[in-house]
Amino acid sequence: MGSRFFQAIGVWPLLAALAILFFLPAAVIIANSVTEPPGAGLSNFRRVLADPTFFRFAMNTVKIAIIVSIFTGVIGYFYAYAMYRAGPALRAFLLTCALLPLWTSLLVRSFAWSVILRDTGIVNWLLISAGVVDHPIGMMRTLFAVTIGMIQILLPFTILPAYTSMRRFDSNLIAAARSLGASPRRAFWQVFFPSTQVGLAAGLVLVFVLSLGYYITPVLLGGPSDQPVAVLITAQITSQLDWGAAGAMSAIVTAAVLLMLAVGWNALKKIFLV
Amino acid sequence: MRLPAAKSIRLSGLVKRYDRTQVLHGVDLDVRAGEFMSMLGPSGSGKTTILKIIAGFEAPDSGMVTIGDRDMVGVAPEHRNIGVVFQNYSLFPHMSVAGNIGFPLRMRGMPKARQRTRIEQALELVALPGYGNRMPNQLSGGQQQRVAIARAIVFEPDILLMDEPLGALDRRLREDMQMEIKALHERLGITIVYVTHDQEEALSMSDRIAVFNRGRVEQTGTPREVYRQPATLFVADFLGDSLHVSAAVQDDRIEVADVVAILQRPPAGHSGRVRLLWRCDEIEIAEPVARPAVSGGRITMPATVLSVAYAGTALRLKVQLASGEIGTVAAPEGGRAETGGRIGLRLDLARATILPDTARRGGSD
Repeated sequence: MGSRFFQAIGVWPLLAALAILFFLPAAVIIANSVTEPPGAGLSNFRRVLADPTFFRFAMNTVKIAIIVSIFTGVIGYFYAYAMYRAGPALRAFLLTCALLPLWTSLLVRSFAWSVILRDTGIVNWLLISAGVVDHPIGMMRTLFAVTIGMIQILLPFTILPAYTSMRRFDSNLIAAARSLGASPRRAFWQVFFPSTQVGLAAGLVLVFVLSLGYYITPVLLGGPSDQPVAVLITAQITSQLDWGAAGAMSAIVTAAVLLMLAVGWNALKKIFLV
Repeated sequence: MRLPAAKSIRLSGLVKRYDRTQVLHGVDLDVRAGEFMSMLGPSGSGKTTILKIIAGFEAPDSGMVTIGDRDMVGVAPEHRNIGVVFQNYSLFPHMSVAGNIGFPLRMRGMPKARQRTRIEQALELVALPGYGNRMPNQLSGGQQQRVAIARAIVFEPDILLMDEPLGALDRRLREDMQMEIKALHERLGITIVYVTHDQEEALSMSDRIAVFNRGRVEQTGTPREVYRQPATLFVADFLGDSLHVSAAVQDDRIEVADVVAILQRPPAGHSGRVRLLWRCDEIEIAEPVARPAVSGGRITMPATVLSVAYAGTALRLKVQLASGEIGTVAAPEGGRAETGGRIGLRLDLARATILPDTARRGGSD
């Protein structure tokens, strides 16, 4: 028994759970796009793609994903660089801080942001107490609230791959660049960054893909004009009972995700599969 | 390609500590312009730290570094004009061979056309013409090291530092590269400081060798001097096989293993307990004897063969004297020495090196 038992069964239970709990339902939802109503064919896709509402929600989704990717990319890369340059104690502290969001529930984190950002929240209380503003700044239900919430939650996904690529960096290369006449700044941009940008790229792909499917954070923090496709899909099912349209939208989002993963596959492979 | 006039290096009183470990205890070293100087020593002896201080990657806690007549304290690495070749090549993986070699030229703002000419010249110098478009990971270890050397000399540095540059190569390739680096040195006339822990490499390549032990220079001299006239037991042991025995000297009288001999030339500056050292090829194997005997300035001592190793042109015998002292002796290939056998060793006092009897032994950290 014991470890030999687990060795023998390997990862199969995990894969089975994933198949039953994830792939199967996802396949059913997507299959709905051509089977609901019976004999639908590609009509659901034609309908959805011609629908200005879908287009608007899709644009919201992409816009938020791009903004979040840019900020998590820049902040995450330099946070990882700070970890790379820090001593062991500070590095452990920074790593813990970076991982903290992953250990807390998504729902709790999104609610926490609403406590911070609402009119009676900490930020407005501080601003009013300091006399910076007279009236609370409306930050809830804005694009700002959605992106800041998502950036905080998604930061680990750029920090960790970037840090991984930095750990693999041969620090002698910086010494070599300096001896060859490069200032610290040029050594960073011409040697360090090009050698570690693969980690940044892998992180950006992850963040972008994850952003495309975000649901809870935009619902809790965003206004009506900041809602992503996921919200529209839910509405199709819960209020319109239009499983066909929901299936077609899901299929389109899934295709976009797979496309992104294919584009970023080289970077992901280098960071996660070596 | 011809480099401008070679520069000398003067290190004086270099002290360096990391946390509580002192790695350099006041190192003084002069490297002459155009000289090939090896820094030889076990790992942890401080030789790589010296290299980093010369290159400007590390600052000494105290002491001076002068290159030519320029004081280098506080000068950033990029302003020192020093070529460095690292053990693991340290080529920029995202740049082609030409990109790597052109890097120092780009940093100096050289016009593109001149860069191209210089890159081609450098590639020819290291026998890799036409390799400019390859990526580093498409090259063998030896080729990568040639590119690293080309990159380190293409900008006409004042001196060239090499940190165990051949350590990662197999023996055959290493020997070829030794010849090439030596030829390059002669052709360019550049001052080279070469760090190695391989005594054969240091002996075969260098104009002079500085032997390091525990953050100090034990001896500086030509390969022949450090090999045949080691200044300390550490140098003697680190640079090859030998046998050394305890002895007592008073004026011209010397007492070894209970026999007394008269030295032809009384040793200057030595009296009391010393060690007499012979290189393994300076000892003659004789018929076994029962006890030590002196005749004509030679001592014959009984010894036991502990092991026999075949070393190509000769045998290497590990022998133990009656006193318990252990050393190494070379024997002709056809000899009939066998493990456990008893032999005599004929030791010529005129060829002995007399060393202070110190228990101090170097070693790795």
